[in-house]
Amino acid sequence: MTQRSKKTRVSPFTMTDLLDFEAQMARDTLADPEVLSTRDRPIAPSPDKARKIETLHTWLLSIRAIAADPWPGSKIQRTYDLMSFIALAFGIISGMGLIEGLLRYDGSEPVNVIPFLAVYALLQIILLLNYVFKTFVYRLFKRLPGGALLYFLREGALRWIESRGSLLSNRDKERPMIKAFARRLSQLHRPLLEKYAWKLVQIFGIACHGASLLTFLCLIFFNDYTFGWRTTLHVEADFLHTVVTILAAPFHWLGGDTAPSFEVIRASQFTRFGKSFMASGSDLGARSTAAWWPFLALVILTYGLIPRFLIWVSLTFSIKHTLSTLLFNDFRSEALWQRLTREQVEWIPGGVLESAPTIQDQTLFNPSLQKTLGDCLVLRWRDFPASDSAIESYLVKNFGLKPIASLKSSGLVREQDALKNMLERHRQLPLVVAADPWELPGEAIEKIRRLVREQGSPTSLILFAPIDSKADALTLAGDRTAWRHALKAFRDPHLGLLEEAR
Amino acid sequence: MIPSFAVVGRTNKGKSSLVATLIENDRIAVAATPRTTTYAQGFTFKINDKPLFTVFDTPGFEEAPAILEWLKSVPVPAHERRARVLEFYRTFHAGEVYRFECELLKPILDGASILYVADASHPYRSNFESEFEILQWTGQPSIALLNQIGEGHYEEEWKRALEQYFRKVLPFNAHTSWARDRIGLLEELKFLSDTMREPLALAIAAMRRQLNNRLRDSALVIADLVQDSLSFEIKLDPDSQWRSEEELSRAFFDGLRALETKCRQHLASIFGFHDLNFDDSTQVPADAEQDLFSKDTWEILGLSRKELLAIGTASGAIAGGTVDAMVGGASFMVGTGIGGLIGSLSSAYLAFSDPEIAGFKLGRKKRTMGPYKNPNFPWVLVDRQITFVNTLLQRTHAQREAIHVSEGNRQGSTSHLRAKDKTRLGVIFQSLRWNVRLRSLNESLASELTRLLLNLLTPKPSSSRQNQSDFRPELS
Repeated sequence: MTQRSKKTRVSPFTMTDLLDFEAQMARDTLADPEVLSTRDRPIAPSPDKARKIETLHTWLLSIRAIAADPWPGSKIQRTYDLMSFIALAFGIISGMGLIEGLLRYDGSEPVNVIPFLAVYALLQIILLLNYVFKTFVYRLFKRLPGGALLYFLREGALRWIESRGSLLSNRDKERPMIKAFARRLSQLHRPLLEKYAWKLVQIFGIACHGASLLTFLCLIFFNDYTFGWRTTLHVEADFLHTVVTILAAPFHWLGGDTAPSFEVIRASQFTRFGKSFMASGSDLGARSTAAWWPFLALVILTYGLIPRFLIWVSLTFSIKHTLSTLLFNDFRSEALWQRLTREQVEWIPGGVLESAPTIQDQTLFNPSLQKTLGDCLVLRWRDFPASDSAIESYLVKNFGLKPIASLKSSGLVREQDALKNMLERHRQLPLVVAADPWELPGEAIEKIRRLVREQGSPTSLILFAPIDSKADALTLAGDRTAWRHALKAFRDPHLGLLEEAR
Repeated sequence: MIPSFAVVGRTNKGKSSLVATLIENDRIAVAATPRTTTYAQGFTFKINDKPLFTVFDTPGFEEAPAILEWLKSVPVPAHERRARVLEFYRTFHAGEVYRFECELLKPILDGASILYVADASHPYRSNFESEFEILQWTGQPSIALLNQIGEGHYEEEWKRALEQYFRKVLPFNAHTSWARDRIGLLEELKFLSDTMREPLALAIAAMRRQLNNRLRDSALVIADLVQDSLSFEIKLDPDSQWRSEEELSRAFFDGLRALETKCRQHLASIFGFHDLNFDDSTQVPADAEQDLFSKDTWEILGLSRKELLAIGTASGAIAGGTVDAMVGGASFMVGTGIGGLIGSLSSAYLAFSDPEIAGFKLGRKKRTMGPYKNPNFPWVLVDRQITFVNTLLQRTHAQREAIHVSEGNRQGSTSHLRAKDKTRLGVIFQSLRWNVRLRSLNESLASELTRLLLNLLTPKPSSSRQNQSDFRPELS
């Protein structure tokens, strides 16, 4: 997620809010847009297109108030606070331990300032350079073991989030959302996460160097130390003087004995064979053993404590700035924004939607037509255009049925008498209903069926012939699936398609 | 009271299909069996909870001749015919006889205008006139729609008959109508009565905006897919279940396919397809035409190797040029040259490789596969989703069969882009690959994709400038 460059408005989002927002975005990833729209409509704040961030924040507060799922923001924030406390405590212990180790002094040999400078000056300068050029260093060394502590911190944090399913949901089926959450954090807020990781490191650094400095001053005050320098390497005093002068440059303006002079450095060189200083016995040698301590204290302060503190302050402001200038212009946040601000266009059904009818198969057509082959009655249904003779020849040729009486009907009341007469005269004969293929039987046919059962025989067959009369010759309609379904709705075992009775 | 329309007609002539298509709801029961609809169901069109008009789906006419016989059993002058229909309704609405017709007539007698649906795929028969007459007796404004369910074509004879009873006769196929046809139908309905003009005009404008918004939402979803797919990788411990590279490769490509399927489900729901059957498009063998990594797909969609080479070179040169700019030109454009060379060489290698094997890296310590490096991959991905959106645009909510997305023999939408746009999109894809956080990257990708999607609404850009401006989205 990028930041706004100019004319920024202060965002109400805290890190906790941001984490909760991303968690909800992850939860919504697979949700039906219609469901999301229904959910968001009643809680959507009044849309103000100029106040996107505020609107999104208000939306988050509303969602947080109604959603039953756990919110990860406060949990992660608490965990981070705990880690900060641990870093602080660990830093204090490390700082005290480190200075105790470096100032180990049994009275026989002086405290060597070389490892002291290596730890509190050289190492700190390397670490500061690593911070300044962190992007470059990170890209260069992230694949190397131990190359970037940051990489492991961030990856570890994301892994931890992924492993903590309960952060986002109480339901197991929603655990995949955790991955989406971790991915969103990684993709959109990597710089912010890195800043939090760096801040944690700085808390450790401040605690470590602060404890080191205090312990150093205490030890200096309560003990009588002798400082000297020695190394296996062939290093001359003037080289060390140059190094010390460079290291003292930031605090040289304080004046006084902030840095040991060349004479002091030369005099405090310790030789291991004679177990004596180069200027042992002289007044300068005695003074030089103590003259190092202001310089060493200022080294801790200048290269350890102050930079850590400044970085910590800058990170704190930078995190605030990042949070206050979030754009929320990733694709899913943009979709949410559109959902909240866009007009709601919808079709609302007046009631519960009807479901498609299920086919009743319990009553199967069972014609047993063998006994009835021969004569039949014909009902020409609703403008069926073929003539009686055409229908007769079609039935004789294809089904061995010979019509002995024929009627035309559209389901009118006035037609019923003629139909009754025909049925009364030929009670046992099957009634063949010749119809256009699109004239699916409905209520009108049901009335005729009842008439047949009342006037004719309860077991006489009613056979439907959906006939295509487009061509010169009559043919059976191509697709009769809808007919089969329609006829099953009558639940009459003696009613069915003519072709099925053959 | 808001205006309303009752969609009426003979049973199984496509009334519910028309309603499903018109209101874009694939949950309305549509079946080839009679009596799918047994009572009048209203669907109210609302903008920000303000109702504008209602469309009623109704059961079909089953006994129209008998009802007309009943209506005519008493001589009635023309001015009392509506009252006679009302009398019919009052007589029968509580019982079982003529219950479907009573349900059908209820919204009309309450003031709904009539949308009569006829199936022009079979010949006209005079018994339909009883339905026309009953509707005419209600005195409500009416329009007839010629649906096309079967193969036959009898539009002319139907039109001649219907024009005698209805104010207007329009063709409207519930199974092939585009969004534009649906809006066109509402345009016609505006003229049925004065009271309908304003709410329908508002509704039409809102529907147009909704169409644009859907395409813009689709662009965001596709952009999200592109971003996810270009950074997709799988990491596995050495002792995990996938031991061979082949299995790992399969898992990787299946992961990419799953991302695409998820994206398509999302796109379908944006267009109101909630119960879409994806069987054909998702559960396909790897060599099927519809598969993301099938060779056919890659030969048709995406860009040609020559274009990929050019875009790869341009992307590399832009990246190198950035370095040159950062050092204030002190590098004498060496960065641009080297970047262009690296870009062209890497594109050439990847573009000429097989899509299934090229373009991923396999980690050493941990089994890691991805991200997929093939330069044509994002282009193919975008083309496939645009084709899918186009299929959704052409699909109506009355269709119930599984969706079939076929690229056919047509080239993808991205191949028709101008060279400048291709380069811009290529740079965006490359930036996504390199995880470069350009401030306007998201907006750029979304707006490029929105533009591509809007082209779907304007198949003839040269002759439809007016339409283009009508459908232009309100990009923030």
